[in-house]
Amino acid sequence: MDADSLTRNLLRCVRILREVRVSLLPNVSFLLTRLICAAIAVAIGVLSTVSVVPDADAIPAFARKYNVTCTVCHTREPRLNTFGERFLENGYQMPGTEDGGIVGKKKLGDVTLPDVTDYLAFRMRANAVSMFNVDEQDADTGPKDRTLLGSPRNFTLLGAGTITNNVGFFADTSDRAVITLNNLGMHNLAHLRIGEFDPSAFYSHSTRRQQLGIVTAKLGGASSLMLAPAAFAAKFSGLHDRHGALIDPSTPSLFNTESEVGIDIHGRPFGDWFLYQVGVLNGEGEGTSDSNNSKDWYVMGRLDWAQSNLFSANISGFSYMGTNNATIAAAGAPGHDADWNRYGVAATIRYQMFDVYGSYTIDRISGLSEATEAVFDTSASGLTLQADVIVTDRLLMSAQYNNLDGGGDRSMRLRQSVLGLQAKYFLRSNIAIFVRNDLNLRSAEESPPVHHAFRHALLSGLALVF
Amino acid sequence: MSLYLAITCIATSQAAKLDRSPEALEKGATIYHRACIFCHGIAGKGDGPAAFFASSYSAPRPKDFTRKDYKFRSTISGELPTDQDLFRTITNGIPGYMPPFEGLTETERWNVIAYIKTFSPAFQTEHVNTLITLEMPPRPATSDSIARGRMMYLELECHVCHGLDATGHGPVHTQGDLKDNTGLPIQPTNLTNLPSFKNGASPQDIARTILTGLDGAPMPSYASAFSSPDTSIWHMVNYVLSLSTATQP
Amino acid sequence: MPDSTMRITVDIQLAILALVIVLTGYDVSAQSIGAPITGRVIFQGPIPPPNELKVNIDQGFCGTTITHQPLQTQQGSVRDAVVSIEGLTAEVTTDTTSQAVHILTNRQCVFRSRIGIAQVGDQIEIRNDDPLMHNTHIRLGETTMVNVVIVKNGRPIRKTIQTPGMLEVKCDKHKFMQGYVLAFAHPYVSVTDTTGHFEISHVPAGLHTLRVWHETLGVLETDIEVPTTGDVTIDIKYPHSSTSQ
Repeated sequence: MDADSLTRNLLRCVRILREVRVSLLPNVSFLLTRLICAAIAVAIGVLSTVSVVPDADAIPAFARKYNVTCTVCHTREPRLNTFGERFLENGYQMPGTEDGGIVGKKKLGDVTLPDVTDYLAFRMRANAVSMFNVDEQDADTGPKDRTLLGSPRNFTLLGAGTITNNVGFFADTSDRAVITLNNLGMHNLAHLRIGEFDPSAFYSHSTRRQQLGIVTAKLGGASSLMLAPAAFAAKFSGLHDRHGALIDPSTPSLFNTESEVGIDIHGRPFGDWFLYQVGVLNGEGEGTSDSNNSKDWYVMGRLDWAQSNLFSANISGFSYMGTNNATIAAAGAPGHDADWNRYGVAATIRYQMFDVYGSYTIDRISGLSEATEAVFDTSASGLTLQADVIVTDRLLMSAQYNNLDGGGDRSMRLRQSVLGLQAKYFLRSNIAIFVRNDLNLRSAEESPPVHHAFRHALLSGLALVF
Repeated sequence: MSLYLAITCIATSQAAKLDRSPEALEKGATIYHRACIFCHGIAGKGDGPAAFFASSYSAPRPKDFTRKDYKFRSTISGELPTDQDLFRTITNGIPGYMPPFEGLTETERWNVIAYIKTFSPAFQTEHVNTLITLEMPPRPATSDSIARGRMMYLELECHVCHGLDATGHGPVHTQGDLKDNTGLPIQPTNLTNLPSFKNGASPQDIARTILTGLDGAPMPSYASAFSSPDTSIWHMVNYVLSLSTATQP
Repeated sequence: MPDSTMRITVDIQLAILALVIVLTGYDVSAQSIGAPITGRVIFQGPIPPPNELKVNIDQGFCGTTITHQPLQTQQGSVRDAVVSIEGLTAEVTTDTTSQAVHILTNRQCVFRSRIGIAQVGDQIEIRNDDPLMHNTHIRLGETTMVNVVIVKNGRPIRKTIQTPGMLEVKCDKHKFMQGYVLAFAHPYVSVTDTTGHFEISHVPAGLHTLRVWHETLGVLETDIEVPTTGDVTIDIKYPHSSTSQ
């Protein structure tokens, strides 16, 4: 990166952040915004001195197998572009084919054997430094300012590919494992997934494909803070899973969980413009031992416009119906099972370097006694809006706005708005370093102490896939 | 006849295997809309919804089929590709940028070629009748042949783009002067990385690339630099191949 | 064709036109009912300083800079302006034996001539007189018409023009090299000589649009009435502000 393009990029960064500040952040001091700009500018300046390899040769498993760069399928890893979405929907086969991913494989009768490196990859995300700033607390046990040094604990070994025509698989060391049976009946009529998977993989706003990764930090005492998209969050305080464990109201859950055990079907029987998905899951936290013998189910529909002009748009809606999938234990009320449902819409618009997407969800809990409803708010909503901008071939700027109007225990409903800004610099297409700042935009009056006290977090780290 | 003396000019049928019936075109359109549209766009202009991301602010972008300059050809510079050229690209893909589509049956690939050719009227009005044929067997890669190839590499000034070390960092590139026809900066191929050769990495592929050039990119045709009957092209090929074998024991 | 550059003087142009007429078998009797249009292209505004083009490679031969004045005038008459009649077409032959051949030579790291005219079906012959490699990359818009290397002492290469339009000539190795060939689907075109004069022969009678293109002055259009017999003389004047556009 020469000096001119660095200067141009810095000016664009400042302009973008200013625009974000004007439109989304009217109450935040100008000084703070300038500080964020300065931090990102310095980070970019340092990064631009790092020697980089210009060849587009970053090759995790699929990229290795097909000898293409990551961004054939991704806008920027981990988010998929339209081509990558159709590849995933087709069970790790090229869109329009039912080839079992024969490229580069040795044929052994009906099955094929790829080289190990063509289906194995590993992924690592680490926040090298995380600085959390919280308000002063009276009690010694309250959350404290924390500067945390991270280790690459979020390390995943994953294998994925196809076994034979229309039979795919995915498995990783964080317990996800899924078999796909594709193109049942006719091309793109029905694709079946069985195993532990992310239900929202084909949704307009997929849970696992976040440029601003999900962050959890211990901030003293029992105070734990999770930064995650509000639309995906559990939203309710005082909610327990079927094993009795308290559910963090920020945790991605239900349709937007990171992974659950179940079975689902999706397809585009009428052409590229419409996708359907129907699925059944064991339910929140049930794993493979569904103790209550009652399943959750969901249905999702998605409309796509993806034809030309470097433009695509899609909109999705889902309904997730839980059955005895949570236990309520609000203060002053007896604990009992309840049905926890979610309804959501999401949309994505992509044009050239812009990738703008978001989702809104409403959660409702039904089946409560009057006594419990008196102390337990049964409805909640979450909104997440995100914009990613590919500023240069190597620099991705992201802004994410979250608003959570939580429910549950009326004494500590989570009410929070958080703005996250991130600059991610790709040393190669599979190795990125990032600087990120998450800012609490409102005081979260009723919220749990840690959310109430949280002011902002500055995170910096590394994401890579091999 | 042109002055490309290094090449054998033969008349050939462009569509020896191509079925242009309405049924074939309809099948081709179906496959195109399932497999190709995401990068090449519904009208074949290379502006599909995923077209921006692979290389973003650099070349190459996906091929605009409404334009008649094709990079991967066996024809002289400025001419359309043959059907076989298109078939080879679809089958093998383009390292780095386009996955291989050998998962489509051969008939499906021919059908989609017939459909792709409807995007440019040039395929109807211009007939490809001059082909670069490379039927000569490659010369053995002796040390003498490789050394002669290196001499040719310098004499023909390949290094001004690809660099003295052939890694793609020649002075014209490092000065930022290399752009493709759309004005996007383009990186000369790293000749020490054989799997990255976009037009293929066999001896015939390399010879074809040198002789035809890559229309739309700065890589010119070197056909006039080789006389006929001339086997010296294989010295150059042997040298280029040796660059990768030397780094890949 | 003579081994000379494509610099168009009136004489050479007339010779080419005569060659075209002879070789393409124009129905002279049908054409001769038209009239010749002669005239000058005039610009009397301020002449901007010449371009100092920085040489990025091969400085030992090309020098460190190349000074180039694209707007050359003589007593207000503009050289290298292309004058054509709009909207006329003529049947173009594809018989290669009758193709006119225009020479485009790489000499002293400059295309000679920089501005040329041609007719669809004509050939451009690309030559290299320099003791170093040149690549000549001719584009119509964003589409490559030909991109060829000619090494030191390399053989010339010919390419047939198939589409009318403004062909931009560049060398990807020497980015300071640039030229234009304006290709037309008819013969009613001329390029002004060193004195700023042009002549278009055998223009059919009627009301036509006369179009002038110059590299820096841009495009001018004017209507012109051509009688059945007799000469037409016209001076076309660029406004003073043309160089500030």
